[in-house]
Amino acid sequence: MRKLKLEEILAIVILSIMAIIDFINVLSRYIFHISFAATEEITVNLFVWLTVIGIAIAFERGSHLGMNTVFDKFPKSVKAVAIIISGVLAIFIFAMVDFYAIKDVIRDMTLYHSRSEALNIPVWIYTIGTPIFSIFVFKNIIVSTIKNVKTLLTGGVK
Amino acid sequence: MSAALLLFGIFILLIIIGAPIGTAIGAAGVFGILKYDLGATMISKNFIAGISKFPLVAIPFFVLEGELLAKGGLAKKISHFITILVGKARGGLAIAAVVTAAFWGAISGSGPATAAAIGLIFIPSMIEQGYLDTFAASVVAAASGLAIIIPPSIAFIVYGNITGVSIGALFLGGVIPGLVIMGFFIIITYVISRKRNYHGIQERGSAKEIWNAFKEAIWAILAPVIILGSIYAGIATPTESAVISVFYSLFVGIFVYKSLGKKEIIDSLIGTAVTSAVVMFVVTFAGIFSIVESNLGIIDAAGNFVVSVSKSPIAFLLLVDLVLFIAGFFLDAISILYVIMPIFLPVLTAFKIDPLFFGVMATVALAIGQITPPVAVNLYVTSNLIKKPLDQTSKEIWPFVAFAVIGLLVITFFPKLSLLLPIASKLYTP
Repeated sequence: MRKLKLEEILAIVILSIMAIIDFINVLSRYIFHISFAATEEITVNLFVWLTVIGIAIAFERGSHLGMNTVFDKFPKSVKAVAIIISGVLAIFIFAMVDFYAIKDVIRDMTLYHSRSEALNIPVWIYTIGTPIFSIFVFKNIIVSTIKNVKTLLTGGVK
Repeated sequence: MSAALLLFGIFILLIIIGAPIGTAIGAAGVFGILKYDLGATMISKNFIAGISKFPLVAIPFFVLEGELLAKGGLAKKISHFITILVGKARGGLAIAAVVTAAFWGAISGSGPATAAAIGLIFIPSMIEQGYLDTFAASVVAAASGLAIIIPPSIAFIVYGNITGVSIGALFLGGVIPGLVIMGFFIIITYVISRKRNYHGIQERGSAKEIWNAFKEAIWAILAPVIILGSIYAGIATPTESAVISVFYSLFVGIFVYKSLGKKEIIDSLIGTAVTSAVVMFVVTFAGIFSIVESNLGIIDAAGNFVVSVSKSPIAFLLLVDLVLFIAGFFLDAISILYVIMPIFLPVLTAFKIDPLFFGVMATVALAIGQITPPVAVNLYVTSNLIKKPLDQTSKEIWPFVAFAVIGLLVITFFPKLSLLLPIASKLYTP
């Protein structure tokens, strides 16, 4: 089997934990009539992390939804510019998300000390996952943008 | 309206230059927040809040279930059973593909995932039997649209998340309309096959063969029974039934068919993370975009315009069908749900239109959008399978689009088709 990337391993672990936690919750609710409200809080926050990591892998694989009809008719130079604009904007929107997420984390650690509803743990623990895992998003956008521009300029079609 | 022009302008321009839809809609939304000073902190807050909703967690679980069952070889078993059952008719293999896609729609909630699972099995064997490859790709692409009408369905999960209509009730609402559209697809497939003289398969399915194929496929047949049964009986929420179905697929793949190894499970997990993130990337940024739209009064203005041009409820519904049909050429289902649907939703009460029926009807229109190029996710998948460009494959898609539109009109004019099961199950009171 091929060697897995770090973000792929994280995706496997997080999705598995989500499924196991929720399955145990369903079982305990129907068999033992005990429900852990906290599981919902953990699952939805893990889902945010999984989504950020999944978005990163999808950038690397070129799996995101889009339209190529017009793009395919562009001359090479315009294609290259379009790929770069698209990459830069993707970085920009995640940078904005992360910038304000980090601001929230800092305010939560120093000023507000907000705690989660079900588990009563500091909220910043959940929030900080987005900027941390966004590193994979940035890395993969940059790598795939460079790769796509390179293949374009060395003759291949995207 | 200059704000609307600017935001939609950025969004459309970026899509035209080939940016991912999530990037395009995210850039337009973030730009709107910054330019009109709507409170930049909401960018991160809404990014996280847009994803961290428990009903949405059903999306990765249903995707994972479909991946595991497909990798476990269950798609092959179910297609074998259905082919023996209906394969003898004119165009038998194509009709079997339609029925199998409809059935797989009851396992998977995603059109492209269904197109991949079913296409891999049916397209090569159809080409071998003398079908035109572009026709084979079009049949599978069209029928895979049933995946978002027949429950489980990512489109219903997202619509329920936006409107607050019970997702379980929406699921049940999709069953009959899904079968109606399937019926129309079978008719057009049969008609084309007759005209082109596509024969049925030669081997006759004897009662014994059918029984054996049924026994082989029974574990696949049980999957939708568990999902829908548990929701219909009211014992599980869609997210719960999704997670149950994940472990059911693992059980079947590991212990019954022994076809799931470590590699298949790992591939399924990674594949699921990607597929669900591709959806959620659009969901969360389109959610931000729709907040910007509504804060700037774009939704109100557009809503008032819609009311002023629709003279009656049925005129309104037909207008919605038309708008969604046109939007389906250029956008994917999720962005349409967030960008365009909020315009129509406040109008429903004025026209006394049921929101569940409306969601089912809109989803049928969105399913048609999955096969109308240039943005046609299902057709994109099957075009890749036959290694032909989208515009070449799409020549064969139009009869299916036309029949699906007839089906859409039937569903629009008869809300009962959508409301019958949700009301009968007592999951929904209009």
